[in-house]
Amino acid sequence: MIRAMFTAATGMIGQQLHVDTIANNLANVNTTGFKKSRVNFQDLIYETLKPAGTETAAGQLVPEGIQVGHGVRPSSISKLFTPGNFVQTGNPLDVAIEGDGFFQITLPDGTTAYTRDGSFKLDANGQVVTADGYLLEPAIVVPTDYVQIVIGSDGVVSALVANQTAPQNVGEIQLVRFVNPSGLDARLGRNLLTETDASGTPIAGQPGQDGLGTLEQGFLESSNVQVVEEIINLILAQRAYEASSRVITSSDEMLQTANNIRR
Amino acid sequence: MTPRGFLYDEPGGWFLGDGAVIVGLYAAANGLRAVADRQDILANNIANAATPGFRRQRVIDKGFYPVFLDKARRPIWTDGVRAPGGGLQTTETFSDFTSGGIRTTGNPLDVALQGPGFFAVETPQGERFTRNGTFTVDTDGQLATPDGFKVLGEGGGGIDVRGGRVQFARDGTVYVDGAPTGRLRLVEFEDAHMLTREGANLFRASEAALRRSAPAAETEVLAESLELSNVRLPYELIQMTMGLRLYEANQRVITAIDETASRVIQDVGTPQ
Repeated sequence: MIRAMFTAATGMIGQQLHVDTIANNLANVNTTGFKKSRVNFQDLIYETLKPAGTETAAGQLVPEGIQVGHGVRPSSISKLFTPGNFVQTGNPLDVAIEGDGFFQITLPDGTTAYTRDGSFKLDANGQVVTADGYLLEPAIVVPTDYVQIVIGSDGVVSALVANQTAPQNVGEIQLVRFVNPSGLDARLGRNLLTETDASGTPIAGQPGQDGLGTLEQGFLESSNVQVVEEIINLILAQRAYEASSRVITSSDEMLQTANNIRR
Repeated sequence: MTPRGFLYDEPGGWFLGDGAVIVGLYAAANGLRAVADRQDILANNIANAATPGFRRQRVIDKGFYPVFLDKARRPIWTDGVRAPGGGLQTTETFSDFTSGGIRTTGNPLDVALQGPGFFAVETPQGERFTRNGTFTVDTDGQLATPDGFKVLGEGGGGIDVRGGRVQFARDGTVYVDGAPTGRLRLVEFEDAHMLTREGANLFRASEAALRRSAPAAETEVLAESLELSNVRLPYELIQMTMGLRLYEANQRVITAIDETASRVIQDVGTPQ
């Protein structure tokens, strides 16, 4: 019974984490390039009170024994890299990745982070940067007197400069992919992910090659959070939480009953 | 079973031996114990109401065989007749392998099974089986569980899912960008109840269970879906409420016997 209480507590703690994750997903329903997370649950270890195959009082063999579980634990929170919807913005520096791959971003400390958020801007020097001002890697510098920027589906960036007839090539956007993108570290926030041992090392390439996606200028990839799905998960999590709390109440009543044996 | 004084304390209950008095007291105590065991198991089911592929556990409670039917150990007071039973005991737990229903998630690495089969997973302790198809990719580019255990293919090795789009066919064949790279090892057991629960959604099969298993014939693989837990909350909560009241009833029995014994000692023992 005391065991039942702790078991129920694992259920409540697990569902709490479930709700936390859903809340973060829902909060990011309009975040460009956001990938939803999901908590994966597992049952905890079992205590074997009576192993299968033991003899009962009546001399029979117990075919199954008694195993008591200890509740649930979240085994991982995985990011689901299903594509979001593509939203046309018409902004020439908005780029969506159609397929697998990440943009590479240089952080102020010189390390590289990865993102699917392609809402780029130009800084004062004409460099392509993220909304936070972090440089796109490899660096692309657009002449300040540009009239038009064209980003090809293969990542080639060309700029048409005033008083010129032919656009000039100003750089190429490279994409990277990972064997296990779910293993990327989302600690930084800001739509940025970093490499871990679990994700594997980045494999760089030209968009459209080696399984990498192609680029779509003037589009943004919206969040892949589905509100209906999250709300359903929220209801399930809340009810599961409630059920576990009932177990605690019930166990408490039983303990009280036990205490009343001797009046 | 070796006698240990008045009581044999065995998993599942107290067995009465020679010389035990006030049988009802122990019958009620056994009831308390069995009900508490059952509540623990219900609590585990409820905690796993949202664990994909979780199979609920059920308890078989049984009355004790009337004690001392055996002539050699029959005490004087059961002379010729059956003595009262020892109350309730937990005899076994078993896993209910009915399907939990399928939910489409749209995630290419989520796989559900329809039918009696299990996925085979390689753990450091050997091959284990699961119904939970929330898979991921490990650093070797192979299909794995969230704990990093490789999901086994038919050949016995892992399944390479490096590359592009992963698709699962109904027969368990895995395609990456349209090209088959392996086939899931799906195992059906003649009697899945012989599997032992290990936690982490894994089941262990004994040698005997493995001998009586075969590659899946009636199991279909559903892509981009998960099988839900087969815990039904109303059922579990009703069981729990019933357990609670049964626990109370057993406690009342103890109180009543206690009162009776007190009367016997005080009233009968008092000179008039």
